[in-house]
Amino acid sequence: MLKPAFGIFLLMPLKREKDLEKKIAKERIEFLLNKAQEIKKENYELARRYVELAVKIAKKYRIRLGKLKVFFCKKCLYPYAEGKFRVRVHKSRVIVTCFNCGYERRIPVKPKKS
Amino acid sequence: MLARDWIGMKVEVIESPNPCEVGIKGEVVDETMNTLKIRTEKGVKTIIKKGRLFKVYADKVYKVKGDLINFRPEERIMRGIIMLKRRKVVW
Repeated sequence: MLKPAFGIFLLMPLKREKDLEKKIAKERIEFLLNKAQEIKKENYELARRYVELAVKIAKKYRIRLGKLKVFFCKKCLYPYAEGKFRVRVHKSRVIVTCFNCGYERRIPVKPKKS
Repeated sequence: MLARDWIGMKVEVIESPNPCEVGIKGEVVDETMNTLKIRTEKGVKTIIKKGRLFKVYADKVYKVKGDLINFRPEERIMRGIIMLKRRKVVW
Protein backbone atom coordinates (compact mmCIF):
# COMPACT_ATOMS: atom_id res chain seq x y z
CA MET A 1 0.00 0.00 0.00
CA LEU A 2 2.94 2.34 0.59
CA LYS A 3 3.96 3.40 -2.89
CA PRO A 4 6.64 6.02 -3.58
CA ALA A 5 3.89 8.42 -4.67
CA PHE A 6 2.39 8.09 -1.20
CA GLY A 7 5.24 10.11 0.29
CA ILE A 8 4.12 13.30 -1.42
CA PHE A 9 0.72 13.14 0.25
CA LEU A 10 2.22 12.65 3.67
CA LEU A 11 3.47 16.23 3.53
CA MET A 12 0.01 17.52 2.63
CA PRO A 13 -1.93 18.46 5.78
CA LEU A 14 -5.47 17.14 5.76
CA LYS A 15 -8.40 18.43 7.78
CA ARG A 16 -9.44 16.28 10.68
CA GLU A 17 -13.08 15.25 10.94
CA LYS A 18 -13.53 15.95 14.62
CA ASP A 19 -17.22 15.10 14.78
CA LEU A 20 -16.65 11.65 13.34
CA GLU A 21 -13.67 11.14 15.64
CA LYS A 22 -15.72 12.02 18.70
CA LYS A 23 -18.54 9.72 17.65
CA ILE A 24 -16.21 6.75 17.23
CA ALA A 25 -14.38 7.59 20.44
CA LYS A 26 -17.64 7.63 22.42
CA GLU A 27 -18.60 4.21 21.08
CA ARG A 28 -15.20 2.80 21.96
CA ILE A 29 -15.24 4.22 25.49
CA GLU A 30 -18.66 2.74 26.24
CA PHE A 31 -17.65 -0.60 24.79
CA LEU A 32 -14.40 -0.74 26.78
CA LEU A 33 -16.01 0.21 30.10
CA ASN A 34 -18.79 -2.37 29.62
CA LYS A 35 -16.16 -4.97 28.82
CA ALA A 36 -14.24 -4.04 31.96
CA GLN A 37 -17.39 -4.49 34.06
CA GLU A 38 -17.98 -7.95 32.60
CA ILE A 39 -14.44 -9.20 32.97
CA LYS A 40 -13.51 -7.79 36.38
CA LYS A 41 -14.46 -10.93 38.29
CA GLU A 42 -12.23 -13.20 36.21
CA ASN A 43 -9.27 -10.99 35.38
CA TYR A 44 -8.88 -7.87 37.47
CA GLU A 45 -5.65 -6.70 35.82
CA LEU A 46 -7.12 -6.87 32.32
CA ALA A 47 -10.19 -4.92 33.46
CA ARG A 48 -7.86 -2.18 34.67
CA ARG A 49 -6.12 -2.15 31.30
CA TYR A 50 -9.48 -1.61 29.55
CA VAL A 51 -10.33 1.28 31.87
CA GLU A 52 -6.90 2.76 31.21
CA LEU A 53 -7.47 2.62 27.46
CA ALA A 54 -10.91 4.19 27.80
CA VAL A 55 -9.55 7.06 29.90
CA LYS A 56 -6.72 7.62 27.42
CA ILE A 57 -9.19 7.86 24.55
CA ALA A 58 -11.39 10.26 26.54
CA LYS A 59 -8.42 12.52 27.25
CA LYS A 60 -7.19 12.51 23.69
CA TYR A 61 -10.51 13.43 22.08
CA ARG A 62 -11.79 15.58 24.98
CA ILE A 63 -14.88 13.59 25.84
CA ARG A 64 -16.58 13.91 29.21
CA LEU A 65 -17.16 10.62 30.94
CA GLY A 66 -20.12 11.91 32.94
CA LYS A 67 -21.75 9.28 35.13
CA LEU A 68 -19.49 6.54 33.79
CA LYS A 69 -16.55 7.77 35.87
CA VAL A 70 -18.13 6.55 39.09
CA PHE A 71 -17.39 2.93 38.17
CA PHE A 72 -13.63 3.06 38.67
CA CYS A 73 -11.06 4.66 40.97
CA LYS A 74 -9.78 7.97 39.71
CA LYS A 75 -6.26 7.45 40.97
CA CYS A 76 -5.32 3.80 40.35
CA LEU A 77 -7.94 3.16 37.59
CA TYR A 78 -9.01 -0.20 39.04
CA PRO A 79 -12.76 -0.72 38.59
CA TYR A 80 -14.67 -0.98 41.86
CA ALA A 81 -15.34 -4.65 42.56
CA GLU A 82 -16.80 -6.67 45.41
CA GLY A 83 -14.80 -6.34 48.60
CA LYS A 84 -12.47 -3.75 47.11
CA PHE A 85 -14.30 -0.58 48.05
CA ARG A 86 -16.35 1.02 50.80
CA VAL A 87 -19.26 3.44 50.57
CA ARG A 88 -20.15 5.73 53.46
CA VAL A 89 -22.37 8.75 53.89
CA HIS A 90 -20.91 11.49 56.04
CA LYS A 91 -21.86 15.14 56.46
CA SER A 92 -24.09 15.23 53.38
CA ARG A 93 -21.55 13.66 51.08
CA VAL A 94 -20.96 10.12 49.82
CA ILE A 95 -17.43 8.86 50.41
CA VAL A 96 -16.15 6.01 48.24
CA THR A 97 -12.86 4.51 49.39
CA CYS A 98 -10.68 2.32 47.16
CA PHE A 99 -8.84 -0.46 49.02
CA ASN A 100 -6.15 -0.81 46.36
CA CYS A 101 -4.68 2.67 46.74
CA GLY A 102 -6.66 4.23 49.58
CA TYR A 103 -8.01 7.08 47.51
CA GLU A 104 -11.26 8.64 48.74
CA ARG A 105 -13.75 10.04 46.28
CA ARG A 106 -16.22 12.49 47.80
CA ILE A 107 -19.49 13.10 46.02
CA PRO A 108 -21.55 15.93 47.51
CA VAL A 109 -25.25 15.26 48.03
CA LYS A 110 -27.69 18.01 48.70
CA PRO A 111 -30.13 17.18 51.51
CA LYS A 112 -33.77 17.22 50.51
CA LYS A 113 -35.76 20.20 51.61
CA SER A 114 -39.03 19.16 53.21
CA MET B 1 -12.04 -0.95 10.46
CA LEU B 2 -8.87 1.09 10.91
CA ALA B 3 -10.50 3.34 13.49
CA ARG B 4 -12.59 0.78 15.33
CA ASP B 5 -11.92 -1.20 18.46
CA TRP B 6 -10.20 -4.52 17.91
CA ILE B 7 -10.67 -5.83 21.43
CA GLY B 8 -13.13 -8.70 21.48
CA MET B 9 -12.91 -9.44 17.76
CA LYS B 10 -11.88 -12.68 16.14
CA VAL B 11 -8.64 -12.45 14.21
CA GLU B 12 -6.59 -14.77 12.06
CA VAL B 13 -3.00 -14.28 10.94
CA ILE B 14 -2.68 -14.97 7.21
CA GLU B 15 0.79 -13.83 6.26
CA SER B 16 3.84 -13.41 8.40
CA PRO B 17 7.63 -13.51 7.99
CA ASN B 18 7.62 -16.01 10.84
CA PRO B 19 6.13 -19.31 9.58
CA CYS B 20 5.09 -20.44 13.06
CA GLU B 21 2.66 -17.55 13.38
CA VAL B 22 0.65 -18.27 10.24
CA GLY B 23 -2.79 -19.64 11.07
CA ILE B 24 -3.04 -18.37 14.63
CA LYS B 25 -6.71 -17.77 15.33
CA GLY B 26 -8.52 -16.31 18.28
CA GLU B 27 -9.96 -13.37 20.13
CA VAL B 28 -8.06 -10.12 20.66
CA VAL B 29 -7.48 -9.51 24.36
CA ASP B 30 -5.23 -6.47 24.43
CA GLU B 31 -3.57 -4.06 22.08
CA THR B 32 -0.40 -2.01 22.42
CA MET B 33 1.46 0.23 20.00
CA ASN B 34 3.35 -2.54 18.22
CA THR B 35 1.62 -5.76 19.21
CA LEU B 36 -1.71 -7.56 19.44
CA LYS B 37 -2.42 -10.08 22.18
CA ILE B 38 -4.58 -12.94 20.96
CA ARG B 39 -6.25 -15.57 23.11
CA THR B 40 -6.01 -18.95 21.40
CA GLU B 41 -6.62 -22.50 22.58
CA LYS B 42 -3.01 -22.75 23.70
CA GLY B 43 -2.99 -19.55 25.72
CA VAL B 44 -2.45 -15.87 25.09
CA LYS B 45 -0.01 -15.11 22.28
CA THR B 46 1.66 -11.82 21.44
CA ILE B 47 2.01 -10.95 17.77
CA ILE B 48 3.81 -7.99 16.24
CA LYS B 49 1.70 -5.88 13.88
CA LYS B 50 4.43 -4.83 11.49
CA GLY B 51 4.69 -6.90 8.30
CA ARG B 52 1.74 -9.19 9.10
CA LEU B 53 -1.56 -9.56 7.28
CA PHE B 54 -4.67 -10.05 9.43
CA LYS B 55 -8.13 -11.33 8.69
CA VAL B 56 -10.78 -9.78 10.95
CA TYR B 57 -14.25 -11.21 11.51
CA ALA B 58 -16.47 -8.23 12.30
CA ASP B 59 -19.88 -7.66 10.70
CA LYS B 60 -17.99 -8.33 7.48
CA VAL B 61 -14.71 -10.10 6.88
CA TYR B 62 -11.84 -7.68 6.37
CA LYS B 63 -8.23 -8.15 5.41
CA VAL B 64 -6.03 -5.57 7.10
CA LYS B 65 -2.32 -4.98 6.74
CA GLY B 66 -0.54 -4.73 10.05
CA ASP B 67 1.44 -1.70 8.95
CA LEU B 68 -1.76 0.35 8.72
CA ILE B 69 -2.67 -0.17 12.38
CA ASN B 70 0.83 0.30 13.73
CA PHE B 71 -0.15 3.08 16.16
CA ARG B 72 -1.23 3.40 19.76
CA PRO B 73 -4.85 2.29 20.17
CA GLU B 74 -6.08 5.73 21.21
CA GLU B 75 -4.22 7.41 18.37
CA ARG B 76 -5.70 5.12 15.77
CA ILE B 77 -9.10 6.86 15.59
CA MET B 78 -7.47 10.03 14.25
CA ARG B 79 -4.91 8.34 12.07
CA GLY B 80 -7.27 5.71 10.70
CA ILE B 81 -9.74 8.29 9.40
CA ILE B 82 -6.95 10.35 7.83
CA MET B 83 -5.53 7.22 6.26
CA LEU B 84 -8.87 6.30 4.68
CA LYS B 85 -9.15 9.83 3.28
CA ARG B 86 -5.67 9.73 1.82
CA ARG B 87 -6.39 6.48 0.13
CA LYS B 88 -9.17 8.18 -1.79
CA VAL B 89 -6.76 10.90 -2.82
CA VAL B 90 -4.08 8.52 -4.06
CA TRP B 91 -6.36 6.20 -5.97
